[in-house]
Amino acid sequence: MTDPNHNPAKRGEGLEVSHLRKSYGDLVAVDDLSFRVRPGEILGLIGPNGAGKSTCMMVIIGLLKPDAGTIKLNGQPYDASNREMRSHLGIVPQELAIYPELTARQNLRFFGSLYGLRGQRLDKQVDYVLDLTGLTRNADHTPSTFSGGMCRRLNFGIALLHEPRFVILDEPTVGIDPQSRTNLLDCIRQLSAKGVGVLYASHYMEEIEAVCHRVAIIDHGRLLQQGTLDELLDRSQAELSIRIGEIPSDVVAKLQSMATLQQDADGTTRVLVRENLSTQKQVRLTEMQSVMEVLGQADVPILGIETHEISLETLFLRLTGRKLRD
Amino acid sequence: MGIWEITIKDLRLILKDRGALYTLLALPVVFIAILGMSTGQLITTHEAAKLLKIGIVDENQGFLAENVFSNIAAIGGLKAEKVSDRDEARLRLQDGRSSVVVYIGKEFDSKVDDLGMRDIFDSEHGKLSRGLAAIDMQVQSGVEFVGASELVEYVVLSAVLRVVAPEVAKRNPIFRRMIDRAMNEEDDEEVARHEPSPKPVKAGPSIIYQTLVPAFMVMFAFFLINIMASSFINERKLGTLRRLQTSPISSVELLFGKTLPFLFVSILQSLILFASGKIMFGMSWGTNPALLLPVILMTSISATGLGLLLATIVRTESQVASYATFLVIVLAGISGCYMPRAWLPELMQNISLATPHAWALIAYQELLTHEHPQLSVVFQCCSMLAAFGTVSFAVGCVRFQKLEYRQ
Repeated sequence: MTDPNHNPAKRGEGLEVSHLRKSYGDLVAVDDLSFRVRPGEILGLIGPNGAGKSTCMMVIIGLLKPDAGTIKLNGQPYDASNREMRSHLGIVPQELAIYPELTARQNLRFFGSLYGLRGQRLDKQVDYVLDLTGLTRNADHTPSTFSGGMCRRLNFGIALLHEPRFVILDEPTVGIDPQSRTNLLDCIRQLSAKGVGVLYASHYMEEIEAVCHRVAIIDHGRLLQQGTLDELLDRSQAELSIRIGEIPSDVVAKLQSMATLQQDADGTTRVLVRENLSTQKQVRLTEMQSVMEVLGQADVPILGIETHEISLETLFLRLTGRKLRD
Repeated sequence: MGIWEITIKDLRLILKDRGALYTLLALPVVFIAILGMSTGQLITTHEAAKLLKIGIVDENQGFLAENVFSNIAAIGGLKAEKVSDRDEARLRLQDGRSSVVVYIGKEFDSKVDDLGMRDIFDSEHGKLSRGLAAIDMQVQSGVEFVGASELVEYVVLSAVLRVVAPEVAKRNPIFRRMIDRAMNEEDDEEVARHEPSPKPVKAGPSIIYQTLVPAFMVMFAFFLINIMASSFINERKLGTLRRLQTSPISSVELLFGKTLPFLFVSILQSLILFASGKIMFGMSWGTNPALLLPVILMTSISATGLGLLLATIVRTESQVASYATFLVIVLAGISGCYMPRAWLPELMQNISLATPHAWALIAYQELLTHEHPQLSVVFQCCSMLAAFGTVSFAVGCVRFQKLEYRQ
């Protein structure tokens, strides 16, 4: 999702991460990572498992000390020991960080009181969050009786009790039903509309595309690409693919020198033209002609020619590779 | 800010955890009741075992021989029993029912009649210089008490003299007049001067629980470290610890908040055990029960401090189970929770002072078993317990602050 009316932040405003580095012994989990979440902006942070997303978030919220780099909150260096600064952040951890033995209301009241909410204000905020997350009817039930989606919504709501300026979400929609997912994404949009900056880490590309104004793709701790969805996808534009039948091995070698071959599940081969994510904006007809000539000379049957826009998922896979991650 | 909220939340969670409540509050009472009925008897048996068991074979059956038996029976630290004959006496020595056997022969009366004043007063040349054999008496000890027979012979001889000497003296007119006069003039004074024979060690239910209740109360106070460490592990597992760490409260506040509920539970546990000890088992709270409160408080502080330290060391439930159980059992064993501290070898007693348990036990022993407990001892013990608790808590805080959350 892009927001054409989104106002650029004033200089220094927002949550700014600069040249962050964190390693565990020889393993560099985050390497020279920089990005910025402006007020009202939703920044999607995507990367394969072990890319460094969670470590990055841990460093931001002060649970890990960075080896290098800085984190600034509205221009001020973020000090995790500073209570006021901590209260500007709302954290939605990946796991369900709620007490199963306490009711939804008791959970909310407890965490709200830790942020200094008392009396009527606490009651009001608890009711607001229950309403926002659709848990009002179940407020006095324990999470042990909740569905996975309800638990996720409660987990999310706790981070909003104290009206933080920035919310950090670490895969908040894992394992929930479409209704709960839609509710959470709506809530995130509402936060953004109120001027709350959101850092949203997820594996779900459709969610990122649906709610994020900007996206940062990271892998092996490094930032691969960053920008609005339009910017990221414009860079690759559409791709042309020629679907062909069986091909002799000598033709494979020729084709590989001028295009990318991709084996499909049905046994056919796909010749991708313009697979390279360069910045050119026109189809390379000469390259296409060369491929067609090779195929014609070898009498390789052409099953079809397709064009399609690159999705965020395609871009993500191209940038991070198809190799399985642990 | 935050401490009280975390405390209330954890108390609420503990109250909802019936298993933990049972372990902390009911189990110790059940445990003490069962042990009181079984191994607790060892304490009374041990007290009885401290008495030297003397079997007396009275072949004479005379008045004087009966008096000798009564005098021996009145000596503190001895348990005198009549034995029918020499064969029975030998059997008792063999199987340990008697430590020493004293034989009063048939000629005891006549031998006493033959004694003169010189035999009584001249211990070097009189007939009694040959020992009890001179009056047809004999002492024989069992295998466990070889060497004790000579000592017992002296003790028995003194008892015999108390009986025999007046009889011999009465046969001499001068001594008889002196004795009569002295008896008339100093009768009252004599009664006042007469020291009552030492009472045997009281062997009843209360003495068992007087020892058992504080010992197991201390052990169970430290049993709490198990549940406390589990509470931290659970917070970590749920991810709520991360929420707590990122909320605007300091680490120290967080740790105080996590520690206080267990301190309250520990104090409640101790109060319940003392109440149970008094109501169910008839134990005494000592001459000044109010002084038990600071000891209970300091013991609980030291237990929860240690619990917090352990909570910052362990990372998994299995580590909690192994470390905490090891600590609870070993520290209780070293310190003397399983048996009276006096039974421990001196070296062990000194080593045990490295444990907070030992200081708690010393304080309770002082308050519960001494009519006039020394406040300085109690104060020293409380100070040591407070120091254990404070140091453990401080080290735990430092460890907690240095811990990094790892994926």
